[in-house]
Amino acid sequence: MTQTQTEPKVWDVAVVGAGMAGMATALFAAEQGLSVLQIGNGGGLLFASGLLDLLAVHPIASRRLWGSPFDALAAIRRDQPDHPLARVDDATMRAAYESFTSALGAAGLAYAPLDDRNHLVLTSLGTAKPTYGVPRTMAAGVAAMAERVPCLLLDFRGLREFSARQIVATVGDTWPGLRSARIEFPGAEASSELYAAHLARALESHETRDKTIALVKPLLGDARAVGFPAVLGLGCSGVVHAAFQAALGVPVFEIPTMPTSVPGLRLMDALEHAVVARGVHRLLRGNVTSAAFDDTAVLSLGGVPGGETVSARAVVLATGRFTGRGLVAGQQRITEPVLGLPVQQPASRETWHSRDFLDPAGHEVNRAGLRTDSVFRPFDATGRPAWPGLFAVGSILAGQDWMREKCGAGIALGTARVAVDQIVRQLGAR
Amino acid sequence: METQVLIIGGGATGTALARDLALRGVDCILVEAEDINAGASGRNHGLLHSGARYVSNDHEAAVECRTEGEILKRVASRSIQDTGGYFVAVQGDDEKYVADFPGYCAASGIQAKAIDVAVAREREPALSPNTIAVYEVPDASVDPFRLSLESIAQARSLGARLMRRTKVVGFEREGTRIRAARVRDAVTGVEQRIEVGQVVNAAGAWAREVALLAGAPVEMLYSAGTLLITHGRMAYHVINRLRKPGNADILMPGGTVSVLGTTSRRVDSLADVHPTVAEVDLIIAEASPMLPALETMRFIRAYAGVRPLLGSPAGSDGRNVSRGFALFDHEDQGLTNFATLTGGKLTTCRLMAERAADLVCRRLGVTRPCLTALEVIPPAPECEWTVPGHAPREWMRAHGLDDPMLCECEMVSGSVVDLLYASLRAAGDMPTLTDIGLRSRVGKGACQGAFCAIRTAAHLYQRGDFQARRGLDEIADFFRERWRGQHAVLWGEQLAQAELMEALNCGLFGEELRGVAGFDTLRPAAPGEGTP
Amino acid sequence: MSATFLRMALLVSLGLCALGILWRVSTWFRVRIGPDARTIPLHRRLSAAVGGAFAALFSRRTPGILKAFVLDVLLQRRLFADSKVRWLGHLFILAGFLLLLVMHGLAKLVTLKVFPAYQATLDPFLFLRNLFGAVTVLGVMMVMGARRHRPASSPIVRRPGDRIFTALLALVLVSGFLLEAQKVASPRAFYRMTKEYLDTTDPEETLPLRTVWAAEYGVAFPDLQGTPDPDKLAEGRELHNDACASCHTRPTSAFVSYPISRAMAPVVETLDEADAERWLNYLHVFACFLGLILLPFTRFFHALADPVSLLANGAASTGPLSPAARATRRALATDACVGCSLCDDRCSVAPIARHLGNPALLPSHKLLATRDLALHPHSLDRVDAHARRVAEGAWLCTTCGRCTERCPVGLDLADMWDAGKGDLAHAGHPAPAQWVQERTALEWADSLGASPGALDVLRDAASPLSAHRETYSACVQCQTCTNVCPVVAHGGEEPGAIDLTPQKVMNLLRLGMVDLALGSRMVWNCATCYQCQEHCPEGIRVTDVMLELRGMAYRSLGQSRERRQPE
Repeated sequence: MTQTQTEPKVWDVAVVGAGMAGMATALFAAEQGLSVLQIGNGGGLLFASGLLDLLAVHPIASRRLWGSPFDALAAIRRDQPDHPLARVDDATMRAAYESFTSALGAAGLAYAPLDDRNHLVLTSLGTAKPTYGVPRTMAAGVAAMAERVPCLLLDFRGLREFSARQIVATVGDTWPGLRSARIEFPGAEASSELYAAHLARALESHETRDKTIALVKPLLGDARAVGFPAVLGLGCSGVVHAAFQAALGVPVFEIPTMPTSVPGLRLMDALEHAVVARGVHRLLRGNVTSAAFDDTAVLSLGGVPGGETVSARAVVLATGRFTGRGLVAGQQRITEPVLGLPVQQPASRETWHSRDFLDPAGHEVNRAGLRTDSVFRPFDATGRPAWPGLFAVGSILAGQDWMREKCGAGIALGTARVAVDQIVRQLGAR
Repeated sequence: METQVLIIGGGATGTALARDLALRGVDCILVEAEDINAGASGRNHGLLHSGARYVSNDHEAAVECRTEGEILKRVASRSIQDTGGYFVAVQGDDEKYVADFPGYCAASGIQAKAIDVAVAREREPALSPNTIAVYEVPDASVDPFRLSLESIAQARSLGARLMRRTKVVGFEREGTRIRAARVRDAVTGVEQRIEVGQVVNAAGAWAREVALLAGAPVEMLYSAGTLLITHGRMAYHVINRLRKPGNADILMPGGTVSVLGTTSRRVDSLADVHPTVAEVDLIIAEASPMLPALETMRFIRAYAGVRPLLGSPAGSDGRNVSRGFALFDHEDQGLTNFATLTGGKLTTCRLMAERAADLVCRRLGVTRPCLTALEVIPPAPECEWTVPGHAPREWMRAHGLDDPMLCECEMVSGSVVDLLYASLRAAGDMPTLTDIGLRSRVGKGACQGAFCAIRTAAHLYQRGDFQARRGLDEIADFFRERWRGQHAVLWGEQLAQAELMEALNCGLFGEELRGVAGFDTLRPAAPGEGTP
Repeated sequence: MSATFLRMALLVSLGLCALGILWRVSTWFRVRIGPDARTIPLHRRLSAAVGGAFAALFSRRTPGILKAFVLDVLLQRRLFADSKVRWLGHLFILAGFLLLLVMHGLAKLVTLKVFPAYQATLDPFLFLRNLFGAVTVLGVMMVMGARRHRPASSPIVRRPGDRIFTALLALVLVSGFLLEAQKVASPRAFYRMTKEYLDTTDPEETLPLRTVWAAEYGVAFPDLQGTPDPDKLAEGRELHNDACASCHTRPTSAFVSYPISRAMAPVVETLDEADAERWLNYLHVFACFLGLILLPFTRFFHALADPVSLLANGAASTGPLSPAARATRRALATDACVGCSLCDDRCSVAPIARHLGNPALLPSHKLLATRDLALHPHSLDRVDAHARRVAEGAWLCTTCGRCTERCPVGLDLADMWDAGKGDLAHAGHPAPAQWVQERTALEWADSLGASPGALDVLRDAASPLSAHRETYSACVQCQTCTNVCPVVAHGGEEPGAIDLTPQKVMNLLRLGMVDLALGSRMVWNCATCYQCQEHCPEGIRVTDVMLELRGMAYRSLGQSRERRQPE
């Protein structure tokens, strides 16, 4: 209640959505000293892996993997000028990653220092995920894999989607020193199923941690690094990770798992912490039901008691794609439900999807989305920016395939940064 | 190898024939190019026809369905749910047909009881408020997988042999007789020779190809039909549209889901028959007047089966062609130990097998009578997991400490996968994820394998059943198989589900990158270069 | 009516009221709600109460208690937040009635002392009396109007005396207005005054004065209809000014009674003959007396109990209450409940109460049931429909605490429900979470399947959330609900503590296998913390469904259990 009195009547920025792009926008805008209102909850981040990829595959049809994301960016600027990433220059992108990871670091979720490389992170399936930003808890795995040091991979009976033995079976031929072992999770001997988030919380207690370490130690053998499923702590993963490393005496790394994954939950918690610490006001339960644009934008909110309207000088739409309801697919057409913006899309559902799920060329529906100008102001039906202060960022944008290009975080952070920079310029000019 | 009878095709008819012959004490081998019910036998409504569907245009088929339905309800009761069926007319439907319907049924000996519309709508709230007439008939639902699996299991227990993933690639002919068949293992590529007494070609849509190999061509038409699966069960009875057979006129209660279809589209080639977007939209548009909730329904999957049809009025779409079956003895083509059994429908598979077996036995000089209408098919533990809702109940019964749920949507646990794997291994097979999917509900729920394929693979890796990259290959195969039926129904919530599947399997696991050099060997490209 | 008689009657009713109050107050120390209250002797409770009251009154909390009294009890701020109409109505009734009581009922005691010039027939008192009466009537109408919008499934809770008391209140108001109207229009009342002040009742002699009173004061003389004679009027005015004006304002300021008196004019003589004034007076006064006697046995007694309850809360806020004090506070709470039903409107299980058609799930009803059981410990021994409903009401509570949070008079309802559950268990209605564990979920499912009609209750329930396909259609099987579930997180230590995860419960329902979910540990161990529902990225109402399942399970499994183990 008391907060209401300090709320400005007109916010500098209203961010709609709280996935990776929404959080990045709120964070960057608040860091620039803007007053920020964020609407929506962080559902999208539940599915995050914790890895901050930038761009690794381009063009997807020829499945070309890039060693440096910035080389890939240069290529995409050349080949697909309409790609959202083609509109983010290297300096802006670097600044976005630097401030994002340092904010996360300050919120207790440290990332390995950024260089210009894409790193391969071993996944629970036994494949490798090319990514730019690597959480510190996973960094030792990147090094261990690159040098093929003898490693012990552990898993817990009951964590159904994670078999260390599977990873060894799958990549063991190219990594001879790899071994696996399965242990009981202390205190969960009576469970047939374990859930990553529960293990992560349990490992934050000394007792469970010590028991786990005691189980691992006899298995170490010649291993020069130990890999675990990504369950080493939730709110204080840094502490838990360090404790394991200290106790085991070798580098310890986490292997990302299927959603809902612990690194995703960590990211969600850390980002929430970071934006709130920077004064972002959050309306978790609200959703925008209608909007009117004049000198300022007036958004009507549903889902809050009694309804409410808020005003803002700039609005950033970061509502994601189909899973996040930023785009809604009817039986024939795809629409943008919040503001009713036109969606660039294939002519008919016939061509939305390829008949091969793993088609290297991807599915056309994934390139559908909002068209924007070079600073991510979405177009209205006439092909001009719908309103000077309206921006759209993240995966809702047209012309990209973040899942195959491995650029989900890249698009979220890069487009958010460009939009916020533009908002700062526009508000400064007023 | 040698056998008295070689049966080609492991669909509903082939397995029924194997059972029939085995019960008569005749030795047989069934070769199946893919897997049990891989063709049209596994891609239909699962409707045990009362016959009422055919009363107006095919009296003989109607009577056949009635009598065969009654027999199957007796001998294969575990595969059948006696749901009862409704024939429903809505405003705008042909009222003359509605008025004539009870008469037609009576003429075929099928009980059709008029039901008060209000009562029917109370029992089936999904029915349209515009319903004008409802008749109740003794339709039932049948699980075709369980039926075929139990039939072949019984046959095998009596000595019949099954060779899955084995394709007939040629015949050795000697005068008027086929002396041997050459078959190839689809996995290993190894060929072998089977000396045969008699051959029955029950290859369904592929019967033409098989007959050609034997040098005895048959005329056949193909009609593809698409069906849709809903995210939740919409009705408790079989719901038929009370009109002349047409598109999208049947909604089946498939245990925990509903199955809606079908369409009829002439196809010339059997390659890559898949449901199309246009068919899906047509089915929904056609059925919505009877079932308005379809307009907002979440569909999880579509599938297309190819019906083999006989005789061909030119230019027909195939629906007016008889659904009756045919048994060719090929004697006019100079063959005395080869027969082709084709056409027909799931409901009459036992009768078709009986006729073929009679022919074969006559040729072999075997006089034992057919027992398939009298002997109840015995249960087999590895055959019951295709029944929706069975796995969760059994899981809760045993609820072992170490029986994790691998498929959450349909609630299939590790012990079921273990059991299926072991039973396939015992028969000398190398089971795949797709094999397990066919024999259980794994991958058949809302996530269409996105999560359960990965959990099941992890489970099998952990048990040591999967080695090297085989599990990953199988996950990819499994997804490809599931996707064939998914892509045409992806909008609304199911598109969100598919997006999550892709975010996980491509976004994180990069499964589409497998085969790319640096990716597979976990050697990243250096800056300044890309891996072509 | 003799003054002595009236005084006697007043004294008697005051005495009875006082006795009633005493008796009610005594229940605060006698009624034993909760197993822990059973062994505490009366004197311990009395001394704990006195000690607690002192502790509260002379603590630093006193300003806080006062503030709560003003804001919560007098100004009803929570009611204000909930419904402006009800709040205003309540305020009107309270203010109107209190002012009437003080200015009119206690005129001799209060008004005359403050305003020595007080005359019931003079403005502003005449006007004010009508105003207060009208405000009270308006308030009653507003409150009743607001109530008419309540769903039938959550009726306002009533004590037996409430209806009679409300009727008496109406009678007091109506008879008061009628009495005043009759007095205005009555020629007999006029002559009574002329007799007293002018010593005449002769119609001719009083004609000038009568002309004035007929024309300007609304007395209905049958011979003075129509336009008054101006001469007589002037003559009469003189006399009027001398004799009457000092005590009488024109009755037009009695803006309610005066129009009534005009309407009554044609029959006023008949009424005079029937001695209507006297009867109305009796009615008015005795309705007041009766109301007074009844007051302690209605929910309006809360006016007295509330301040005491707040004091008790004040004591509780200075330190943990002794068991004796807690027992007293519970008994007190049943009287302090104002029956406002704000708790019912926010109750987590209100939707389930609706589905099951059982208002006993709602806090305000449960409060009385808890008290009844404490007063009559054997009243639920026979397992009949009533006992089932009461037990269902108590055990389906999710202990979410919203009722306590919401209560305008700060009752610790959570503590009350705990105590009530203890009493129920003692009376042979054990916690379902306990007896559900007698069998596994599958055994329950089998028992339901075996008894025809056992699942009918599920189908009968009015459009339950759990039976709707749409409830689950957005699920993408991400298992976030299970990952955030604290019950699953801590269930791994004991085999079988968790049979189903939240995701599995949802999937069973989606698959149409509700029978397998009803008796599961998950449904009954659910902490109703709402983590699953709040985290669900697809907005599926996981917890709401769980709660609904409990409601269904309690009934269907309970029936199955009764069949199996006849009492």
